[in-house]
Amino acid sequence: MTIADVHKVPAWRAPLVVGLVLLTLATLTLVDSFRVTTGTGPGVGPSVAMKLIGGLLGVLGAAHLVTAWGKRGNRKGIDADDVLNPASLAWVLGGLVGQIAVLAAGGGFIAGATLLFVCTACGFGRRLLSLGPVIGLALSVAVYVFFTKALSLTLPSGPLERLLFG
Amino acid sequence: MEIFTLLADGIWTALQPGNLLFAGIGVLLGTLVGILPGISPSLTVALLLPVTFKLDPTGSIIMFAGIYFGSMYGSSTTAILINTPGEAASIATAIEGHKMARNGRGGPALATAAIGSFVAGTIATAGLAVLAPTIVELAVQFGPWDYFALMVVAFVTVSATFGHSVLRGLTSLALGLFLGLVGIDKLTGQARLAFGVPALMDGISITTLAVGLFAMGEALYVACRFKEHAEQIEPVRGSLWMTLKDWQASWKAWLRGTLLGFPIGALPAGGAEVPTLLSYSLERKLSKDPAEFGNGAIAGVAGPEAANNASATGTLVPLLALGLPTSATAAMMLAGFQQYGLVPGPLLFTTNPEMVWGLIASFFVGNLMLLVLNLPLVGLWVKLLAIPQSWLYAGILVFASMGTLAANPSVVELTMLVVFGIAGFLMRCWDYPVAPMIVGLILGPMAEGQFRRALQVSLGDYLVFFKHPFSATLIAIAVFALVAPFVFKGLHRFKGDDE
Repeated sequence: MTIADVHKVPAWRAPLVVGLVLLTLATLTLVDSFRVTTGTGPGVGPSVAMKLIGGLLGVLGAAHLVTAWGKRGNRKGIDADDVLNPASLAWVLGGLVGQIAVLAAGGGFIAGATLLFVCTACGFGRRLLSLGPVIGLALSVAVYVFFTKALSLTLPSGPLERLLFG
Repeated sequence: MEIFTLLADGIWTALQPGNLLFAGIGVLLGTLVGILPGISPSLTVALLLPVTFKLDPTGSIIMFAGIYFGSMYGSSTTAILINTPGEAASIATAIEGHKMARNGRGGPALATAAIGSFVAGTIATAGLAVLAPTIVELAVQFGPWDYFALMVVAFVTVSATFGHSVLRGLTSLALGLFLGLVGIDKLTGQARLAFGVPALMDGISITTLAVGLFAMGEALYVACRFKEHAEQIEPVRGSLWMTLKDWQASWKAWLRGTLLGFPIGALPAGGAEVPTLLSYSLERKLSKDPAEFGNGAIAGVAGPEAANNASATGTLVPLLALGLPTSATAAMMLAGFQQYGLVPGPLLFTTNPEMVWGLIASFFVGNLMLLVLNLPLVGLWVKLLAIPQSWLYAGILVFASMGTLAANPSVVELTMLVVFGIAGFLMRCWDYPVAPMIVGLILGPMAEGQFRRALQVSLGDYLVFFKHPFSATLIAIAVFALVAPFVFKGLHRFKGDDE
């Protein structure tokens, strides 16, 4: 979904999307609730809350669809102050996805975090090859060292971490 | 008076050098992160949760309290100096405080905010120390039906009563409740909504959800509206000290703000924005010179800041005495307790009295430290405001992913974080409050536990919730609170951005 979809849209679009998401979640919950078996003994089992919450999601989903229907024909004005910037958003999202990819490939925390830092900085108007990679790398190393050595937490390690810290 | 001996023990605990150090670090870290533009106190607490993972419970919770108070102070500093309130509760401060800063009275504005927060925090902590044990004594007699009804009241007030729209508030709550279902049912060991994915069996982590919705959502939202311009920071000019006239205008406003903030915070009545805005309009009404309001009236900073701090302390009454979080920040505090397997509520007062009272006492200490550390350091804090957005948000995202990975080093967890971030972004674009979702996730499973216990006792009779007068009354209140916004449209005058 692009930013243009989010903002320059007829007013019914948002409630329709949310309504459909809610109805999907409601269906998932209710279907799954029939798979869960009810325990023996007094009281109720784990499926009752699923049915209640599934029902609530369903009612809210339906209410959203009604709202969407009521707004058909209306168009939502764009706020004059909002300069929408899909490129920035794409940079930041790209950085997040890139970090996941690096970690999934076993690249380690420092590489992933540096990539995220650089992409985000680009999204906020920095040039790719400026101070960004330097600051990003320094910050990622500092964070890695502080949290793994000083606080003995575990962060994903890759070739770079093994090279630097054994 | 038993309270006083317990409190004295607590102060002794809080004054141990180690705990004092934790309180100090907490206050400094909280201010450091809370002062960054666009970061609310609840996000500060969520981001800093991993820092406390490996400390001992008492020290960690004490540090947490410091973070909490520090972040609120930082948020008001940002509001005064660059007019970007980190949360709805700082809006009133931003109106008057920023005007004061532009008139060259930034020093007194910061001072009245800090001293007002100290006064309000101290009085409210005293209120907490008196009120919480009383509620605990009552709560010992509560049955599971009473707890369930209390939680229903909290659900309604958090999501429906004070937001922009009941439908959007309830939707956010329902999404949180849905996420709360995911994972293994504690009573029967059956997996719900996990679809065979091992990472989902443990359930959704509250920290991941909070950091995703707040930090990632905020970063994406700011990115999509990014345009290159520098924030206008008002330099702190002139004296830091308040004049005699400032003191005269401030002290009554502090007390009035405290009196408004504490009860509204202690009742689950929808966060700090209501008392701060009430305090703001009250001060304007009582002012001899109403024309001053809107042009930098010091009482318009003093009152709302006191109300904000008092109400934040007030939300700790239901949190500590009943285990009931009624704001996003309180939900994060509860998550902090839970990582040590501690369950706030009546039981904690008997099993870990030294911890509870150490915590309450450390609020006094934390407030004092805030005053002693922060006013002299104001020059340093102002420099933080000058960090460019690019480094700021890049750093926030690195720190956010670090926190999630430190809690659970898995790619699935990180993916969930990003998914929640996109959800938070869309919710912000479409004006859905995020706080009810977080409260729903943490309170939903607790409510379900009480619900099932009640039905176990009643042998499956659903009328049990209406047969006991207390729970019946509470459910009536919840229904009323759900319907009231439709009846009294006037309430919508108090609406603010949900945070």
